[in-house]
Amino acid sequence: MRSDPGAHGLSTEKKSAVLVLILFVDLILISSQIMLKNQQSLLQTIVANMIMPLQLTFQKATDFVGDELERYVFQRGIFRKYQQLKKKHVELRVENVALNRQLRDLQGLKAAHGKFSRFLMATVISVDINFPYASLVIDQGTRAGLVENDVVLNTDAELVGRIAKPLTAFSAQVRLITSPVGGTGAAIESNMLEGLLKGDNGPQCRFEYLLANKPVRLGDRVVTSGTDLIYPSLLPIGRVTAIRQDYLTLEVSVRPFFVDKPIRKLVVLLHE
Amino acid sequence: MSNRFRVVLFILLAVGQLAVAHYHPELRFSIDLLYLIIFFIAIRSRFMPSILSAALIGFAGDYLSGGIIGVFSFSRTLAAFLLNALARFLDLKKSVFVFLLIHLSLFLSNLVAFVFLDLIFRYRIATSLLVVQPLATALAGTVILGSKKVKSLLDVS
Repeated sequence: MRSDPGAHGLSTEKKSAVLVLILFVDLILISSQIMLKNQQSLLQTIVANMIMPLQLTFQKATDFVGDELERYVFQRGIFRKYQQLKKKHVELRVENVALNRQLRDLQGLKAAHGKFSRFLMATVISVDINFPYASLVIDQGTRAGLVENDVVLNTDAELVGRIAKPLTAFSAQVRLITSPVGGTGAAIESNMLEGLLKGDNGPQCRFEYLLANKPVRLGDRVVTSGTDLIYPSLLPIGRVTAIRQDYLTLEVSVRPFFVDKPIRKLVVLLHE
Repeated sequence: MSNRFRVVLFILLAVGQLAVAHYHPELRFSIDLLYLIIFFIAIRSRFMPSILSAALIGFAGDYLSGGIIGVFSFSRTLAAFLLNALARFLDLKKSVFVFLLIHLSLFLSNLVAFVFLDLIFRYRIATSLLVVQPLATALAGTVILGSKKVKSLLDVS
């Protein structure tokens, strides 16, 4: 027998009062978010902490099932994959030797080893669909040793962004370098012309405060300058895609490397 | 037994919506399985559980849609109030009434959310929210509630 909702219990006045109270709380929440624009509100952090375990559990469960199927059921092409990995391994070792030689010349090797002896892999579990070039969420948090402003790279060791709040025990937000919040100290690799790289929620970033006293060409590599004291120097960022000459300054557009590659696994460099 | 079945059904609906949000985020405004949980609670329960569950499930919907927290909580609370008031007057044994009730209530709820999302925050999602979502969700709800077993276990037969 169907129950008759609302026939017993509260009087009409009390029902109205409860309804109005709940709607009022919702309106307060909505209005607080209008004011806070780019900052994360406390409520979003609390709700994220409540919903995040579900998302993490779902992600881990699907990853586990997928990995087990891959490992024990779908064995096709495994020998070819092994050969490819062996070849890639040799190429990386050769590249490593060349890079070590360069770093030794710049006397940076000891500093780099001292600063980044630890790193960890993380998986992307959600992307902000409304602003896909602003931020994303990974499945590592304070429990793995992450702190705010830890540097995040993709698996090709190219700069992606840095850790930002909200930062929970098992998850963290990554603010991408294409986000309009903040900026990245960058330089043109060929002539070390320095400026500030700012994103605008799109696949391109723009260089600000770049003096037109040195030549810049299309296709030039852009690396971090280290002047922002957040990102270490000489990390690859992207390539110059457009140049416009002003009177004293240059307007340069840069396309980050990570934009054209799938983002699923990321590398977080842990500060000591 | 019916309580256990209801819980299992609600969990399945929640997991379904999580799966849509995770694997097909472009469809997150095309169907709202969480609304069906609100519907099933509102047509059967008393005023307080209906309103509170709608507010909380609305928060979850806000988070999964990536939008402003509070918008869907506000609109779903209003929808639950409406459903709770109307359900006693409608014969929910007939599938056409179920379809119409889900469709109209969700359309009105989304209209309220659309006022916030478009006029205040400038989000452009009109067609999905006002046309596709009520239709798809009403169809899904009618199919689920269509079987005699579900009707009897949800006490609407």
